[in-house]
Amino acid sequence: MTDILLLLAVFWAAINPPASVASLPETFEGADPGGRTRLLVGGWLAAGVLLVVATMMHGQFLDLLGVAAPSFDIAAGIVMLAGAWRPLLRGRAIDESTASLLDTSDRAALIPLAMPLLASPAALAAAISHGGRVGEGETIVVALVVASLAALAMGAEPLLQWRRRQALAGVLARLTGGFLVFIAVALIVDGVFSV
Amino acid sequence: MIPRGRAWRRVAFQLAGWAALLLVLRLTVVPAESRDLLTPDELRASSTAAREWIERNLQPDGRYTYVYDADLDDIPDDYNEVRHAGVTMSLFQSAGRDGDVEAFEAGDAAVDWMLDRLYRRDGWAALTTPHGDRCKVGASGLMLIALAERRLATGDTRHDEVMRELGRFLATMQRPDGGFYLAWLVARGEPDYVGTSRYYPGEATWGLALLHEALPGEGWDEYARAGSIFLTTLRDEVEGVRFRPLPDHWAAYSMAEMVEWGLSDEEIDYARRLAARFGFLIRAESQREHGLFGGPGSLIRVHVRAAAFGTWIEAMGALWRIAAADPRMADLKPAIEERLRVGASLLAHRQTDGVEARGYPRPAFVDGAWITRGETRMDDQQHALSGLLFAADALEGRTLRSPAEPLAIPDALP
Repeated sequence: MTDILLLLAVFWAAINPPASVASLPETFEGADPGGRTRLLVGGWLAAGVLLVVATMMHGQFLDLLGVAAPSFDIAAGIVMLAGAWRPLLRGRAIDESTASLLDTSDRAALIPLAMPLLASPAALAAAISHGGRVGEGETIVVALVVASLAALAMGAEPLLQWRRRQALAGVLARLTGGFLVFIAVALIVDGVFSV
Repeated sequence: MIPRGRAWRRVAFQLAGWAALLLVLRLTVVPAESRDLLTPDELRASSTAAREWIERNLQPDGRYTYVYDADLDDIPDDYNEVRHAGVTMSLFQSAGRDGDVEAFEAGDAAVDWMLDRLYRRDGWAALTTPHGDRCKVGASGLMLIALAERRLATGDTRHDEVMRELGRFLATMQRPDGGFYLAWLVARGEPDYVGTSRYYPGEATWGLALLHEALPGEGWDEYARAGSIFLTTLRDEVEGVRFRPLPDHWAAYSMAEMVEWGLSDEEIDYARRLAARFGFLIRAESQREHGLFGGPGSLIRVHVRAAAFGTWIEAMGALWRIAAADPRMADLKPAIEERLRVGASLLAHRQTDGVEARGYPRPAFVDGAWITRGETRMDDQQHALSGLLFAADALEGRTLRSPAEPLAIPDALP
């Protein structure tokens, strides 16, 4: 698998766009399109800043922690496992209560859209882990592309009836959550079996 | 409609959950490594202090102080000829590097103790147990290595014939699969066909590889090759090792010795897996000073003894030589150096220095030693000494295996 494909797989699983779509509250459908676009662009920008900083500062972050990259990979894998349980078991990224904060306000662009939906803890862990092993440029591009895919999917007019779309997104979210478990275990194993 | 206050409380609760998870990870999985890094010269100084402990603790009969219980101020009556040979090996390594004739003479006294305990039969010779009933393959393997280190340090050939005899014993004890029988049973006049050892094959293989280096053209490399194939492809299976590969620094030494002969892909693959295994062990150990298992937590779990930690550093030093010589391992060289730098520094920091030693009833038994659970054993100093010596080499990029200049000793040739 090439590095780019690997990064796509990792960030798709870590950001889990279907889980973000499945988390949208029903009120989001009725929000005015201009405000919705503004929210999604703002959230994507804020998430992008977090992901870029995490990727660019991976070396300094590891130095600050005082650990070797393989040791961090083990911890990153555990963070991913923790991030996988809700999509896997509930078919969504955040609970209904948190999702109810997703309106068109500026604050909603930061929480919960930028964090934890687009720049999820799993995605930030992946950015730090893969920024060093694959390369900062590639990691940033792929992370931003997947985050923008998630934002686009959340803002797109549903092709299906709203409830059906949410149900389908929930199924895909569970599958992607399962995939994240696989990636997390692989990262932990790699951390254990690295010099 | 969910009240916003409740929603924000929920967000705060989730943030607290993530913070708790990160805190637990920090305390258990990713505590900070001990990174009080030392220079190669400081590592060598630590190695020299360990050698001085060995010299100081050589008894008039040619044995070393085997173990000292610092808590009870007691020297238990115990001895082990395999470890005697190993300690002598490290003594010669250090004496040669430091050009220390006194250390060399101490090593010769220890060699005389072994020469007096050789069992000879059918053209071979083997080092026996103190009771004289068995000849363990590991003891003869390490005695051969000690004599080879002596030869590397001086160029003195006086023990070449004994080295050949030891080599013939190891060849006799080699099984068809390249492994080795455990020991020769003197009374029964045959090998112990039942027992096995996880580490003797590595010791024997390294001894045979060094014998070929010392006396090329006599065919010892064939036995070493067979031993290496066994180590890399069969040993873990035969020994039922559950978490593979077995962290065997002797195997690493063997391959480092043979790298200039050319290693197979299987051997390189094994060397890479060994590097990962030792890398993980060093990382885990270097994270134990902090986190849940540092400070008060050390009451629950004390640090690993130097006889084990030293072998990890020795192995990484040997694997570094492979990485420096073989392009198939070259990508691991920076990571190996990093593990060596951190691990060797931590090992040296754990050594008891002269000031600390004054707090013990008999400082001479602890100065330059590594104390774990209140005691120090001679192989704590042996493995730490060798590990620190080769770590310093690696960190300076020194690929030469032997001392730069042969040690000039009085009466070097027979």
